[in-house]
Amino acid sequence: MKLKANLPGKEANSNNNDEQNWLQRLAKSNDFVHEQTSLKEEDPYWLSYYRTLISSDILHQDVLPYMQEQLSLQELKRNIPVEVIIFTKDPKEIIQNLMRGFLALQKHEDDEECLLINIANSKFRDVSITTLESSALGPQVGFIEELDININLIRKRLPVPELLVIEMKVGELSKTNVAVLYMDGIADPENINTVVQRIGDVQYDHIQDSSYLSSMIEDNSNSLFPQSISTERVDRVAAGLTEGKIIIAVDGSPNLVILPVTLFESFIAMEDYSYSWIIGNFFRVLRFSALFISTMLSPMYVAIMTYHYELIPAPLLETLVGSRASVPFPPFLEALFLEIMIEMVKEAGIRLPFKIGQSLGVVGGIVIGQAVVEAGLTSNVLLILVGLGTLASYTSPVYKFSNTVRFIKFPVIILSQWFGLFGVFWAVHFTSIHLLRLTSLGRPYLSMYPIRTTSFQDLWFRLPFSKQKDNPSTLRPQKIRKTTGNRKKPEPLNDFYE
Amino acid sequence: MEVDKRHQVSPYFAFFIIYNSQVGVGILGFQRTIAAKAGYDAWLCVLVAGCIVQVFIWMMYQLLSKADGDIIDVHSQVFGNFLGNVMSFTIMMYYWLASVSVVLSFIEIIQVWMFPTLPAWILCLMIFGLVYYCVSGGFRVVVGVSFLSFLVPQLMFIVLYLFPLQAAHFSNLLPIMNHSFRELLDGIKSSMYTLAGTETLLMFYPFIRDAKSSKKFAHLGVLFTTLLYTLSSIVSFTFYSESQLNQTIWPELSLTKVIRLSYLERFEYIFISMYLIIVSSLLSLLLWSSTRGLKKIFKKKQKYFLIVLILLSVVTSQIINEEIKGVLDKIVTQMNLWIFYGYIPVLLIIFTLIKRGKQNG
Repeated sequence: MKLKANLPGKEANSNNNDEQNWLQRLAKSNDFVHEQTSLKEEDPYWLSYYRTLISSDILHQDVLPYMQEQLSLQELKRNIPVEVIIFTKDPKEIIQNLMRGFLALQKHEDDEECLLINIANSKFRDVSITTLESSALGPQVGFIEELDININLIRKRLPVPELLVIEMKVGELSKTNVAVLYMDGIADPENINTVVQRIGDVQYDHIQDSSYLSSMIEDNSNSLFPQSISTERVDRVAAGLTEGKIIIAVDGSPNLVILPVTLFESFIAMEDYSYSWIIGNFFRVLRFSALFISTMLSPMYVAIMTYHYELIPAPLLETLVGSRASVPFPPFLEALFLEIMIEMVKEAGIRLPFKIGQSLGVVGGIVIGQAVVEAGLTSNVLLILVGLGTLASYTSPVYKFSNTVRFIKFPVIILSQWFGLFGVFWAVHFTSIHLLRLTSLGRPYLSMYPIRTTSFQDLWFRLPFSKQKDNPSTLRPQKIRKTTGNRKKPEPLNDFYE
Repeated sequence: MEVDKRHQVSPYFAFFIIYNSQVGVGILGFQRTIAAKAGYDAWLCVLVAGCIVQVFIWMMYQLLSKADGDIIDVHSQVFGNFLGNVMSFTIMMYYWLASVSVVLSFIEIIQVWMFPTLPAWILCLMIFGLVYYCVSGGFRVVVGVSFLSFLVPQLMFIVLYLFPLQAAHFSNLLPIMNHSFRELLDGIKSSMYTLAGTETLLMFYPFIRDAKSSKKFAHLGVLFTTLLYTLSSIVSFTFYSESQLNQTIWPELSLTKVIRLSYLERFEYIFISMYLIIVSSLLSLLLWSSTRGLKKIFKKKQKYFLIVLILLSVVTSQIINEEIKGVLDKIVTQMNLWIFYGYIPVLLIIFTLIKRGKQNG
């Protein structure tokens, strides 16, 4: 398999004249520095760099001391203790590297050849714990905004030469570094080709986050369901790689994209593997039922209270009707009002500064909720249902998916107002057809059909590690078996087993 | 005619497709019709009819594996292009009429049980909206929906039968075989229509990977539905007395009224709403077969036929009245009986003779 490593991005201004006089072109900017090393006229060096991009420490400690004596550029290249030094005449290359914090070194001002020395100032935040996808057990380390550090974190977990990286540049203006990671010999070459090709086809000015890219290369961009998982957890990415998944890492984004995925993976938390398999399964089932609770509770309430109150036995109906006896609105408006209110509290909680956010959450959630019920605007049964539904929507370990779940209930509420239970089940069926149609990198998204035996091992359920024998076959991995320990049969535990 | 491997499904899905094609609105009300013919011996008729359908499945597999294609290929090999296409067109029209009859029965149920004032065309549009979305996803999606429509309602049926069995009078079934041979034959005939639907195999056969090996799954599918229908009729027969059953139009739906939980009554609302999944997957299969055939006959895009057929169905659903509906049901029943249980065996014989003649000559 042959892959183009550096895909040639179109140059924004491929005007030849401009490129020849790169000096004049760059000098327009005020933070561009072009100066001589010594005042002596004989043999000075000419330095050019962007003041805002370089680290002056490196410049003064590692580069300038070598400029005392007159050496040729080649000799300098050997002497200066900086890893990346390029000797070039190509103006295009000079401009590109200057823009990344390189220093251009010339013998004379109008020399064509120059030495490019990497003295870039690379400041980024420290690797810290995950913020969005937290877990009680298991590794806490999360990715950061620096591509190389992210790859470093992954390589530390998978120190094998099979882990390959394809680097690309995307974005007409942003020239963002994008890395595609996969395990050679496990991942399906067809998948890798598709990903690389789709990224190569992307034409957009700027890529600020991996989500830009993932939504640009998705199979169906009109779907509510994310056809890739973006995660900040290192363990999730490493585990995905070993199964034959493909990872897209984007410079400047702490979220890495995992492709291809299936619906059920949105209910898998890495924490599941930290517990006994029985408890892990319990949590998985819990999250899956939370999906139905959060999407169905308030639509069901609307449907039943509007059309089918016969469905509820009399004693329970008394409670329901009694709670909304003083509510002047139809159930539909009541539910819509409350749902929108909760969504607003949530949205404000995210946008508000951290310190205010928490206290406002309490005001929004408890005080307004209580006051609304007391004022007789909604029934307290509905408040319970909506609260429960909102809580349930956050159980999914994949943040994007929980957003989807929270959105879906609005159309369902409208349908339940028009067609009652029929509308609710219509929506359920529509969603299941939609999920059947969806693909992620051409692989079925709703991993229920076609049925794969590997799905029982570690997708719908999580069996004990000794029973997880195969890599998920929906990914068409080249390596079919997982390497699981052939633990010898243990010594009999007691006299009964002897 | 080769079908792209990417569009094919594994052989074992024949089970789910056959199941889906057989279970429709019929199961909600067939108990009364067969009991009217053969009394409470009718559950035997269902079993016998099931056996006949098994034979019929065997015949279709013979026919299609000889032609290595669908019914249209068979027809064009036997009758030539023009006459063959006319015959195929009749069968495609049968698929469509069957789908209209299914959707009309379902709409009737919704109107009687849930929304008496909701216009038929809105319901029809909603149901066919789902069907369009499903069929336009291709055959794999149609099969996927069949698969889901098998999984979900099984739980429902189990619950449904457990409750009435608590009040069952098994002595209702006794004495066994106290009806004349003629009455039993009539019972078998009307059970045949309830078990109808397997004829979609004539169209989807080439879409099954390694189709010959799917035969046992198709037989299993028929066996499953036969047992399900038998169980369903036994549950109804033991629950209702004969005269009571005579006055119940949808015995299976009325059964749901027995279910009573501390948080749920009137189970039929949920039951009918969930039934949408079964009905729309059956409709998808029928309309997929029909439009796939029309596409092959007229060499136009499948999309146009689907839209035309859906619009025709929606219009029909609005203008139709009880009388025409009765006629339509009769036409579909008769067509089903004559085309599939009369014509196909004859076609098999002719086709075998032609093939043998070609080999010898």
